[in-house]
Amino acid sequence: MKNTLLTYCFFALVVLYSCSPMSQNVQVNEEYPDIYPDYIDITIPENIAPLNFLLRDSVEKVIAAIKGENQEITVKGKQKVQIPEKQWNRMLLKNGEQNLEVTVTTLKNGQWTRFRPFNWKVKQNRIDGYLSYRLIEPGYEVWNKIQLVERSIESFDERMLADNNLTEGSCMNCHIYGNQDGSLSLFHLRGPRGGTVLNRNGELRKINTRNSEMVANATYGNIHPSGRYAVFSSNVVIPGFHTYRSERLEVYDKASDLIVIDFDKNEISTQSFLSDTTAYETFPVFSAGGDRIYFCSAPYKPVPDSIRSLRYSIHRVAFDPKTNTLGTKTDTLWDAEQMNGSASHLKISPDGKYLLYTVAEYGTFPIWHREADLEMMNLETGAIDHLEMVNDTCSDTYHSWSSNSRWFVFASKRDDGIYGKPYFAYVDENGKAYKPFVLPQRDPAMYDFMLKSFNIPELSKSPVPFDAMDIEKLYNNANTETVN
Amino acid sequence: MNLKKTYWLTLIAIIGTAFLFFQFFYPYHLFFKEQIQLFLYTPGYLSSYFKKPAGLACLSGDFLTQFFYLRGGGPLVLALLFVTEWLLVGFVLKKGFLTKNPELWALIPVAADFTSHLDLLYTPANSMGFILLLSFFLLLLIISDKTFFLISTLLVAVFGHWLLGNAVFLLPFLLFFRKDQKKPVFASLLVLLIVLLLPFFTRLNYLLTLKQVYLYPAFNWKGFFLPVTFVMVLIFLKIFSVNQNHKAARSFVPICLLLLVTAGGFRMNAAFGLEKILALDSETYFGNTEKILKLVEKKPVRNRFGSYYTNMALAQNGELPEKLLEFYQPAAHGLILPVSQYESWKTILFSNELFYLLGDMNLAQHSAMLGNTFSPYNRSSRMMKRLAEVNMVNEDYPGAEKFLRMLEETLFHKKWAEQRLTENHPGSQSRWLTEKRKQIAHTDTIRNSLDYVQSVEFLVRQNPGNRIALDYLLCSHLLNKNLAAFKAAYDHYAKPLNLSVQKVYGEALLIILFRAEASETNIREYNIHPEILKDFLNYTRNFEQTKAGMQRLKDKFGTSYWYYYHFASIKEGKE
Repeated sequence: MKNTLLTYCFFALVVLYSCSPMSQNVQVNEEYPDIYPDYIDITIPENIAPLNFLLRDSVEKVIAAIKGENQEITVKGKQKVQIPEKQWNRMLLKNGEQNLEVTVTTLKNGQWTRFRPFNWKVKQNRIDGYLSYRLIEPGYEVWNKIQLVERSIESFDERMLADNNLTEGSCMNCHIYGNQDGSLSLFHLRGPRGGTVLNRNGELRKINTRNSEMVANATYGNIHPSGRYAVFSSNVVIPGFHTYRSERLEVYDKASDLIVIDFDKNEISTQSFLSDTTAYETFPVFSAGGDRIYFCSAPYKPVPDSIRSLRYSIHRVAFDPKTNTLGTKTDTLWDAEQMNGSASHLKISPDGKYLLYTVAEYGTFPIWHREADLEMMNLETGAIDHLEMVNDTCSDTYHSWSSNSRWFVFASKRDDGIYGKPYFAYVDENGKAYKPFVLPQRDPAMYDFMLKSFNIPELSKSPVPFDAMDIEKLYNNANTETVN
Repeated sequence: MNLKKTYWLTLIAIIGTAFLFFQFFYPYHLFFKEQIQLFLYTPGYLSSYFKKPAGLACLSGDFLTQFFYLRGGGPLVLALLFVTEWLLVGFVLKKGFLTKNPELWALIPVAADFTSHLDLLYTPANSMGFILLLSFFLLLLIISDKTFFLISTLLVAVFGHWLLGNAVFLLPFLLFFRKDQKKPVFASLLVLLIVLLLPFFTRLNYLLTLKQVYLYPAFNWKGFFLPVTFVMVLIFLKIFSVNQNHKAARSFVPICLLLLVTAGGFRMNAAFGLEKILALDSETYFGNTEKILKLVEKKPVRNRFGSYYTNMALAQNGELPEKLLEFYQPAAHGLILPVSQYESWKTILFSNELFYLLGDMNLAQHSAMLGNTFSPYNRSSRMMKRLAEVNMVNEDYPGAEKFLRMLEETLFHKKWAEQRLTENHPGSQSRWLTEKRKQIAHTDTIRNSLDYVQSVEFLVRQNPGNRIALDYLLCSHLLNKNLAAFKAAYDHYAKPLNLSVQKVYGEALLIILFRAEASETNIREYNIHPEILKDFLNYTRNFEQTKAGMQRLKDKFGTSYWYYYHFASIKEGKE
């Protein structure tokens, strides 16, 4: 009897020994672990949701030790590391700016391996707490199911702002904020009963933003800091197909002009040189102070034949919000011919210091251009940062700033070249950008099994005061306002 | 014959009829139902079922649908579902409604479900909703305590729609028509109110329209055939419950109803024309070229889909220009299926096969991506496979890995994905990849997605050895009767290859040369087979003699290009 008990004890010890990573039985690997998402050595805000990750290698067990200044969290899993939210929030919020060291140890074929630790630098500069994006199949300018979603960055909660299943399958796009504020936003809801949906302090209006003189519907736009105006480009968008390997789709404009809409008077204004046929104008934005409009423009060329030589420069023009008038002269900030590229998607940091934009080889639709990268111009000095720490070999575009100008979000296809996902990057007080990280998910495998792109991610300080039900009602019941 | 024997015979008859019918007369609908789904063994995917109504019914139903991938798997699953339904309906009727002949009455809802499965969009989720509801109801019948019974019933009513979908609407009827109860009205009305109002109030949580939330998991009103039939059975049983020994109640009425439901169900749902198309489509997916040709020879499919698959099979055998006109050709509409907003999701899903065969990887990807997007569940195992293949051919390894990783989490596509993953790297010497990469374009241009002739010509220009693309280009011109374009393309791409002139090309060339009054030397340059020359002279003579007599020429020259050229009328549109 005694012998049997001893034998059991011995075996239990052996099992325990082999099931836990004791220092004697752990092999040390000097490389970083192959984790997904890539959260190796990144800079994060203190209000980010837990950075759950998984091991790409098929392991039997994984243990992650996250060591902060005064606290340590140990997470065990089979292949996934899912950090308890409460512990995580306590760790990040209590200790402020700190360096978290993450050590991953795995068990594979009975052998424990400890990998080289990596760091998460926590910044007290917070990122805006809400992110809205459009979920859409990367379906070549056609769609089936589209949702506008608002996700809390501080947790995993998400909310549907609009779902085209409730609005006769109509397209909806470009949900943008004014002043990174949830109480001021707009998006275009197409379809027979659609219009541009304007949210000002929760009051929803549906406006037909196209008048008889415009070449097409209002497309890319930006809201003036006052909330009274919005500047839009009106684009005749045409999709074309490449023949060569991974170059899938080319979307180009047959025509495009700029307009400013006064939402108080429902009036449209423009300047003839911004709405004639000599150039394609697009991606307009107001400056942080609201006294200028930045936009992209390319001289007219026949498309698609000359598409490879169609390159957009960055210009700006004065805007007087008191009189709703545009200036008559433009400055060129970034000359496409000199820079040998084509700019798009302009976004000015809320402190007015930086201009963030996308540069592709040519054209105006960088999301399908693998070479499309982000660049950042210091508007005070004109210096350009090519953001090498931020960009990857696949398309990086559709960016937007956090209200404190210390963070920006962008859509990157770096994982598979097909599906865009929201990445966040930190910009320090000297304008230096750091390695970005993808929006964390409760289940880190979620991106692997998702067949939708995160499109046009936009940050905001507060949640928007409407949901999918309000949009359904607005679509079905509200009258559409017109503009002159 | 004693009752037990009849019971077993009925059971065997249900299994036998269902299995034989779906195995031999309707198998391709079932294959296709599997192809437009993707059942993943991941926690995230499995839990996603409970974000919509009918979570349990859809989860179990889709679990069963994956077995439709196997030959015989679909018919077997359906046969077992029908038997389960029959047994459960029998039990429910025996226990709660009638004691005489419940097995016969139980056949009626089974017939409704059987015929509902003939519809492409009807899935086992609907059957599972029904089965689960009857199971819950049987459990309720066991409860003797009235309060506990009421509470349990209310729980089923409250959670029923979330777990079972539209099947829950049967619950108030089951309660109302149940025998041996004194006050059925209160409980039934309460349950009726709950099951009717809950979907209305919860629909926005599911982000569904009113119609969708009440129909779920069905796509259309036809999905209500089974519940409506079952309610009808309950009503009839109530009518006859006064005199259970009534002869009509025992056999005549149920048999009539059974026949009526079967005939009505067949009329409403059977699509044997579509079954023929799906047969060609699935055999293309399985790579059975010879079987496709056998199928169309045995039973010609005279529409553009039939021509589409036949032409692909011929092209793969190198016989397109030889046998093109031996089969129905609706001008060039049977060569390529367009991917446009005017086409159905099925057409878009079918269309990638040709682009992939031709080597136009970007259009194949476009079509497969849209096929997946517009398919009813927006995740199709077949389209995932195609997207993985296209990305591998394009050397987009991370893109391919995305789809392969998903397929790795399935039961029946796992092996395929694992095999492909071993080939998904730059050094892969896999034969199919090497062959496929020979076809693809090595320079870039931008084209309109619907200008297929331009796209095919670009492929030929890039790689004149791409015989399938060349045949499609030439046949497209011929079927559109554009002889000038045919001649230009033939002289430019085919003539330098010094191949023997195939039948339709020779026949078309003779028309052109004859018209141009070409010299004998000129004709000889084309190496047209003397037999074709002889036939041409013969045709011309006959044409003149019969004064263009269509019928007489058809008998002898019906499969010649000369006949097509003279008598086929080309219409705009699909067919």
